[in-house]
Amino acid sequence: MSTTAEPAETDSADTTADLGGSGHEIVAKKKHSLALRWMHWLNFPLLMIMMYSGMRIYWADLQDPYVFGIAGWQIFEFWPDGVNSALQFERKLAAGIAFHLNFGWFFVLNGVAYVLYLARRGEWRHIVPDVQSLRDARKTVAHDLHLRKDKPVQGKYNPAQQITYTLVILISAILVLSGFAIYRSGQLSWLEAAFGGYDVARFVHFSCTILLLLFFFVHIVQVARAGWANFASIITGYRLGRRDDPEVAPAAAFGPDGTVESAGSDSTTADGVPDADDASSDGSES
Amino acid sequence: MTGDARNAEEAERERRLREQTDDGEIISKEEYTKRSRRAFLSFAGLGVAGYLGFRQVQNMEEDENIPRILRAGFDWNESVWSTLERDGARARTFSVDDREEIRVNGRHGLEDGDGDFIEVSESEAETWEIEVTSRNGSTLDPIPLAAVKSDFEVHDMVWEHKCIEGWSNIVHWTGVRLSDVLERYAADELSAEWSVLRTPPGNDVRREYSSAIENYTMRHAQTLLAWELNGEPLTAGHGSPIRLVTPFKYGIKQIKRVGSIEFTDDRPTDYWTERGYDLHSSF
Repeated sequence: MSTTAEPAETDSADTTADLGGSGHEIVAKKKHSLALRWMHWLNFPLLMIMMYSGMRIYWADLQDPYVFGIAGWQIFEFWPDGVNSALQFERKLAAGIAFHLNFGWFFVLNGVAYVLYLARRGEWRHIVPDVQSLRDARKTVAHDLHLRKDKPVQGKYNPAQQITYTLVILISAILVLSGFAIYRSGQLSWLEAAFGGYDVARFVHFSCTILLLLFFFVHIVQVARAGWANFASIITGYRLGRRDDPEVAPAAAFGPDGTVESAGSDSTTADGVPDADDASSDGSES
Repeated sequence: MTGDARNAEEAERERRLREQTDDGEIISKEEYTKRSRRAFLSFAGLGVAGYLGFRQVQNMEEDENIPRILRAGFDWNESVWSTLERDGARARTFSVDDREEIRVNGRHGLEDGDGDFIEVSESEAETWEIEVTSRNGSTLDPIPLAAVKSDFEVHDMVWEHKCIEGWSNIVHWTGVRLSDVLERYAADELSAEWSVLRTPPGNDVRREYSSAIENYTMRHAQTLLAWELNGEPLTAGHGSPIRLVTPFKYGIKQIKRVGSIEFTDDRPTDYWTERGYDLHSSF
């Protein structure tokens, strides 16, 4: 199943892969550690459980739903009736609370483990943008929208990914904190007060959920755009591609004098223009 | 000059980024095929196992209307939070000016068979007594409502009343501390793990209601027996003539119309706990 990932240009590399071989050779480069892959994937079922049980809690009070509107114009209510009927939603508050308050701990543990991991391994550097990344983010977006040919210099993640992923971590932290403010507004009354009150904490909790949901959809689209080799890397841990593929060895994408030193590769993207046309290197936002 | 400095800076940044991303191991395509097959298989296996495990939780034998393991989880949660300061913790309070109207929500224990509120007349209120049962099952002297109102320090407290369904309102209660009353009428029971409060029984009562309160809530300074809401005597819908209020628990625990208190050291249950809710439902 993994072989469908081959970039368009299947190479003549013979089976005894010479690891010091040419830039056209197909190799795989380690991208995500096992721990990182599992922490990433655990979020999916956990957030599904949390959102589903959270909906049951939210839906218990039908009298004042949150409304999405702009400048006084009501656009729709959360949730639009269609969502309710499409999900075959069964209102069941007791079960909602039971799942939410038990499974919530796993989301917290996973998040804490992830942040500790980033801190210990120094991998937060891949994610937290520096000033230049902040400046470059719009170039990435322009590139993704096909308004720009070249991409800004990047490390493991491009500037737009860095900003998005950092925000996702922050939003998750606020989501958890507002959850605790709601859950323990007696013992943690200072936390409730820090959010500006119970109502505000509930609204923040709900809003952060919506933001994560929006991120989720954008994430899916970007993963689909980035292609199979990119998707497979979050399962296998390795990115398959040509040795000189910038997605395999991002250093190859570097500027004019970016002499590539990675692992004995002799690849030269001579003119320094990242070969954005390479099928497997396009759109890396995942 | 500045241009050169800038280029040098950019070059340095590129070098750094390259360094950060160049540490990944490179393997041959054949090795990748082997490893990726293993990764996909273990991934799918664990995914299926996780899904089956979750179904197992959903379909597990129930304990008081929720899967057994989730009920255990509720109790585990409580043990986590009990390690944190509680007796000294205080819920936020507000000014009387902040008080709001509050809807009548739970009607349990207050309705007759037709679903109409059972009113408590003034004369009935004057002779209202709360029955008390000790841990060993003996009946103690009842607590007369008249004495509750006259013999203890009266507190006006304004806090946010929170319903488990999600709404909340800032309300103003007038009443006395439950702990003050119990110290006089059930001093030996103050060490009980639990107290279970019930609405008065009666043939005409549609659904008798009950609420179990742990020791710390029972003795907490913000747990009151209240007879006024927002400066007005309680209506039948809000639990006349006397009800329990505390900002440390959802409304479902703040029983309206208290008819009796029973003490116990064994884990009790109550109306909503039997229907799948957390026995503690604390904040």
